[in-house]
Amino acid sequence: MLSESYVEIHQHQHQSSISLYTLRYANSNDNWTIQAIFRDHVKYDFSERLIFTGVQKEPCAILYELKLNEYGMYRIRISQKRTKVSYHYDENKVRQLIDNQSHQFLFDVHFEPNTFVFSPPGRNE
Amino acid sequence: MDALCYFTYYIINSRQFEIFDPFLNQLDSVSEMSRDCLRTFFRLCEKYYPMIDSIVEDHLSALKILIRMLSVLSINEENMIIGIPEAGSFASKIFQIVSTDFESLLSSIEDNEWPSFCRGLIHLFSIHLLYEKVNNQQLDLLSKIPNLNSRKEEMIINLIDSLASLRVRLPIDQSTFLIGLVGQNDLTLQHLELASSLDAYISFLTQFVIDHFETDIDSHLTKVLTENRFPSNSNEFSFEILHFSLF
Repeated sequence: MLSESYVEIHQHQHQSSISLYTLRYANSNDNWTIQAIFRDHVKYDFSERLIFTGVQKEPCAILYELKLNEYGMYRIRISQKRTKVSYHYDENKVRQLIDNQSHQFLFDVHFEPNTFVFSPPGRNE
Repeated sequence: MDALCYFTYYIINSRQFEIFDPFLNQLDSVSEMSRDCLRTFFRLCEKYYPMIDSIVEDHLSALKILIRMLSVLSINEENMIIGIPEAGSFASKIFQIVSTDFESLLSSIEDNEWPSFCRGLIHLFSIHLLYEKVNNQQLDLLSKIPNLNSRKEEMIINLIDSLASLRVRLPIDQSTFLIGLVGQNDLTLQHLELASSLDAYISFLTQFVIDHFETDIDSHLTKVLTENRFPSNSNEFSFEILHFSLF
């Protein structure tokens, strides 16, 4: 009986949403979007929540949040839509959502240069 | 370490005070910090303070978060030996708000918040005392900490440790006051280094000798003597006399 009710609570908690937070240093109008990619290429965009403005044109810290109802493994991507294709850089690791933690802070997001010649935009921490 | 400031300020700015606990839990503990790292952190705290100032002044929960943010730092003689003006001005600002209603702030602390609050408060006092003189009334705030589970004694002894390691010199009445808040048995010779003058040192030491007859005072005295820590007008002669009279 005890274990059954535990499972119920556990599942119930899994249905509430999770917030992911991350930071990026960049110009606030550079049109790059941070995304979380789940299996089957399901993508969710992070939203800008707070911009720590610097001196004019100086890159500034931007704080992002993504509210999720998805669970499991994911990868963080930074992506920019162009007229025909979208450019993107991925983190070189797969992340796992922490169980029962409705607010999760990503401290060490780092995008890898990929097939594109250029390095990823902005600075990540 | 920049992330510590940005995330904390976001939490306060968006008034989502309840998400500070998970944030703090997910943060890796820091064992060492360079001076540059500490300076950048306090620069950011100062630069973006206007984003949160009115909230910190109006909400104890926000003030509490700001103090607990400081608990993550590692502060020692090495990274503080060259002054960090931004640290001094930030600490001074927060200290002013803390001292306006310290009792309400204390009574708002939950048990699970105490360890980080206490560590943050020690950092706040240490930095503030390193840069500014405080009056006795401000220092007296510390006596208001409830001594539940010897919280107060533990906090004061850690503060004295921190002040001694940062080589903060307090006026004699203030160091006497601090030392008086701690049971004699918890004092060690290192704490006597808070003394700002030879006179103060001798009076602390005399009391200490009476209370701790078995401790190895000789080597500590030699250390203090060779380091030349007191103002030069306290001549070697008095050390000789002190040494002679004790041993």
